[in-house]
Amino acid sequence: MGKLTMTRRTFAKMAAATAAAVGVAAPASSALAETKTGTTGAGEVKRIRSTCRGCGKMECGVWVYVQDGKVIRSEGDEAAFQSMGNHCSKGQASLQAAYHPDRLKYPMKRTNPKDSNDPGWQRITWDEAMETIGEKFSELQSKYGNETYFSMAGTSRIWSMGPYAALKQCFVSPNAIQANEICKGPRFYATKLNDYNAYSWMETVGRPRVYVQWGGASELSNYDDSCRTTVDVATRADYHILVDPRQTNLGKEADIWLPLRPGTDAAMGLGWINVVINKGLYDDLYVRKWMNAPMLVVEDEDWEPSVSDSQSTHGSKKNRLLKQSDIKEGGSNTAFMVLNELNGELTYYESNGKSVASSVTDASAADLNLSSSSSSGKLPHWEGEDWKPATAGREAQIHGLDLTGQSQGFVIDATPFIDGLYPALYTPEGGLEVTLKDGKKVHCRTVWEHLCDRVAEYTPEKVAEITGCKAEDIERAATIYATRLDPSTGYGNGGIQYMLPLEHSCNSLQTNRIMDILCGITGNMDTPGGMRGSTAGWPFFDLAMTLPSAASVKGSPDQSKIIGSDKFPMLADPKCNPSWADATSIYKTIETGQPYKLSCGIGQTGDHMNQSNSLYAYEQLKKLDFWVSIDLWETPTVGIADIVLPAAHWMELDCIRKSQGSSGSFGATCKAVEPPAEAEPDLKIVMRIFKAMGQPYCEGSTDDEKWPIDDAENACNNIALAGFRIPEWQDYKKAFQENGPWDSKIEKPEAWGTYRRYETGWATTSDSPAAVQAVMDHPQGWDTSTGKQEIWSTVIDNYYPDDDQAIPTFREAPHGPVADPDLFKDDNSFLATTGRRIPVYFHNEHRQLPWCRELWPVPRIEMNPEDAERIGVEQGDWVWIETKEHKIREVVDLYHGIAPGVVNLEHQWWFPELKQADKGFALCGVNCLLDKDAQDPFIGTSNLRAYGVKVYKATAENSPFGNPVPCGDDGTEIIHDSSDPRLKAWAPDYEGRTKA
Amino acid sequence: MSHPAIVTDLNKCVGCLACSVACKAFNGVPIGSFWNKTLRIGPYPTAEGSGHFPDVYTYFLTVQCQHCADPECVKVCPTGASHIAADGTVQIDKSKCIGCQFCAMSCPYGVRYLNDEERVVEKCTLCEQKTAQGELPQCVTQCGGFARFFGDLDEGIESFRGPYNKTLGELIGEDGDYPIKPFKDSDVHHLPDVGNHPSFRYILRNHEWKGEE
Repeated sequence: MGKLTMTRRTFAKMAAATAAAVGVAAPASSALAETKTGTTGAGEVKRIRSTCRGCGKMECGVWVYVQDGKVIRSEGDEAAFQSMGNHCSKGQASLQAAYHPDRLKYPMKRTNPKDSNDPGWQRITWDEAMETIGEKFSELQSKYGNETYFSMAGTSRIWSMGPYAALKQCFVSPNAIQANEICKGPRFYATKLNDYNAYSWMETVGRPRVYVQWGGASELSNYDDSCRTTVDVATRADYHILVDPRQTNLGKEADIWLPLRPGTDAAMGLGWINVVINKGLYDDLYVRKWMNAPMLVVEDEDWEPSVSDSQSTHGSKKNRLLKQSDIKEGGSNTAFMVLNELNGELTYYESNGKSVASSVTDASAADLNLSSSSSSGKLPHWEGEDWKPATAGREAQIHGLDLTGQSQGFVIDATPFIDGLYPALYTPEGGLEVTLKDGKKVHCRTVWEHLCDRVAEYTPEKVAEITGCKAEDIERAATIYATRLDPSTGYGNGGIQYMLPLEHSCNSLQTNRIMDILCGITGNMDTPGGMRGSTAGWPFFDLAMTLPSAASVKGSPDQSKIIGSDKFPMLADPKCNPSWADATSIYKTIETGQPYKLSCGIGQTGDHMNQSNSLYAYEQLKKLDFWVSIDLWETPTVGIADIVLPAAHWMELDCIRKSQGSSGSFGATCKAVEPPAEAEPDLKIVMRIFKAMGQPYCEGSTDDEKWPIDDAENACNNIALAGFRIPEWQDYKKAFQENGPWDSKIEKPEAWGTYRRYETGWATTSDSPAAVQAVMDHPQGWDTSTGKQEIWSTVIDNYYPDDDQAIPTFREAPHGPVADPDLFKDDNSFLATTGRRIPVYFHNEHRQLPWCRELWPVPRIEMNPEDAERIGVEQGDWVWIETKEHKIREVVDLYHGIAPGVVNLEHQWWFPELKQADKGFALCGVNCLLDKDAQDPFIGTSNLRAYGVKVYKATAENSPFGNPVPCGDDGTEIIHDSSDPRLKAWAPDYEGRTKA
Repeated sequence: MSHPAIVTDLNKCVGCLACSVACKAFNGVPIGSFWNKTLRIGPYPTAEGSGHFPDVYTYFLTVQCQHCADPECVKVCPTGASHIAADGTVQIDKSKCIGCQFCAMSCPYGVRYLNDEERVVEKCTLCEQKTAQGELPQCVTQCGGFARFFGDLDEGIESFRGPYNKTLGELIGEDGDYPIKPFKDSDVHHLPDVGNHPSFRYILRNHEWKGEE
């Protein structure tokens, strides 16, 4: 055990005294920062209110207990309404990360070549590190151009998000490998195309009455509404539907389980839409008024698609939708034509409006592209409509909020069309004949008709054939989801919690568009428990925490030069891009030098194991002239760095926090203890890098003003708090200590406290800075070319006019049993899925924390016992898992909850216990198996799931060192048992934190 | 005498292991040893299903010292180290323990172990240092499923308390305002009883309890 106490007995005595004074139900008002909560002979115990970072982002409200300057434990905070007092195994084990003997504590430089098993780390000063960084990057950029630099970003803990934005500005390069290319980014981008960025978030805390868990396990990990909140939501729901190839930990309780074949989510989604339409369960008014369903598609193939110059994020795009400018000289190209069902005449929706932020001079508004202008003097409107924000409505009726005390919010009533208007969903047989302005006649059909055509082939029977589920279960699930349990509320049963498996079988973008459309047609956009987008609160924008307040002195990144855009042109779109450079393309560019040389970069908790082929990625990264890693550990990716910078742990830093999801909570992570030795918070490191590159971070004339490095956390947090009623970080922190997190429904009643914001003009503007919000016009509808939720994607239509992809469809995974049957021919062939949530880990994190590793020492492969018997393996056997790229080993877990023929692999294992630079990632790392060229055709997302593998027993004969247990290069076994003494050696080191 | 115990709602337990780590963090249990463990039961065929995938069900069983009313460990202890404390819990007086491990062998649930450093047997104390002050055991307050409640079995499990300091009884109801769903007497189970009368209870609705009664 730890060195905190001499014996467990003294620990128990001390703990008893502490607990006695604190009380589990202490009133929040007594919970001041560093409140004296008890004294013992061992020293005063203080507790600090904070927000955990054991997984994704925002996460759970917690208390961190500190005694004699040391963290002794952490617990859930019941005042945090989003997390209900939850604190999972990962979070509680966090203190073992903070005090881990293997923490990086000083800047270091490599002294051995990159193919060496030992980097030969040598301690250097921060000054030397920053001097080298400034010199090397400047030298390489002046030699090869700004774009020779790229960043690498890990998962999204807010203070290490430099690569997503700040470092692009700092280095004036658009290039970054971002973990969101394979997780959540495709969902965000799908909604950016369809309605508004990040409307893939369901308001879980809005406790939908039908809880649909589609490919996830938020009962175990991720986001602030996971674990206790997720279980609470599922328990309270009238129905719980699970769509997942395997029986999940919470899904065991589902009322309906659709155990689909991995990679067929899109077919399932289209099947649900089929049922919803055929049974007339769609929200007719929403579909006609707020989706582009009634807009007209020109059918004639010889018609050249016309441009719409939208002021939305979509910008100018060519598309097949009929516009006023097509039929009338001088007509608007953003007035989209519809057929009025009431009189059989054409009319339109004008999606551009008067300048949305004409009076705003704020630089941040310009950054957000809000100041585009329009010739129209009116806000977006239907012909004849004088649109005003809707105001009538009533309080939401969310059940079960009594424990958390969160507020209900106000639901705007769905408003009808103006008198005399009702856009048609259907045209006459053969399509509507329309005369264009040049006299030419064309035929048009509605977007809705195209959707009906697309889903017609996805009957429940057909979907059953594709997915392996029962047709009657598919129909029943879709029907229960779409049939309103309580029509009197005026809104649907809730959204769909669709998660990352939908992104991993090379149909990433379209599968997520299907889910967004499904939520739309059932009337579950921006409703209680529906799809609500990212919380509007503070910081006003997620990336703000690492974004400087000063403008670049070296210009802006040139998006047109982003790597991967030759294959995936949407990556280079000036406004409507997904923000990443394609990872595989980056690695290929390093190899080939085409279209230009990539020579250097910075990884901020970034790793090469989360996408593309890990082995290929690692080989390419080694070739770079200069690489810097910012991290807590010597990870495999740190193993190829030239310089490594030590980052602070969440218990050691101050940072404002906001739910990235729809919980509506914002609060803070508050420093409980100092970082060890010379480790520094990421915010400070990023500011140092700006200084090294001569880019100002804050406004000012002196160096101390431009780069207030000694006050970096304070300065960054103050930037993020702009516009809040408590604008100073120190005051904010104090208020947070006293009261816990804020409820955005109360703090931002228009931007967050109101549902159906597309009726008020706030759906697309809620995350703008408060200063901009105050003066801007708020247009109705969504942030798209058509101003409507786009079933017909104008952006995809622009880039892929001949591919019939404007309406999303299903594609088989390239290495699945249908597209690549050769991989499935023998007895040892399996369809592999991966990426499930492990209770004690977050992706590749926490492998070195004793409390986590002892509970889950090795990676497991779940296999149906029927299959195991056939191939001759038993529970606990190591097996080889092989593709033509590589083979890895995992341990068999016999699991009746997975279909015969399918295996579930754990992802991204590496072994901190191995004394070698690559930390053995190739032994069990699942992405070493990948075909790097199997990607989503639009945005590049890797084929992480739904591919064929061979599985066979690992034996002494077929294993290196004659040992089925994976071993390091020197033959040392990995830790595979909770009794391994190396686990005890990883106990907290409370002593080695002072600077040596 | 009272019978302090924990009741776990197995329909809400998702095997998140927060209780296991909570115990370690609070009680300083040595790495490699556990006071509580979570077992996966199944997946096993459901009663009216096809007998195979996907007609299967799983539950997670949290196992620790059951603080029995008539504990074998106390009977076999040669020194009186293992004893029933005044509050009704089963405890080990480490000053009397000689590390003979008869108790560990006699325990029907395998929840005791020898601490190698101290050479004494250890097991779950039900966080006596907390419960003595009227608080809840750490595995109850930190339960990720809001599935665990602590109380005196003699008072009935509806009186047990959990997070938010609510009693189980206050939280039971059919509709969405209630986070605990109603259960029948026949849904309440305990680990196999060989005359030791375990105090802990497990609620499992709609599915077959795989332990004996």
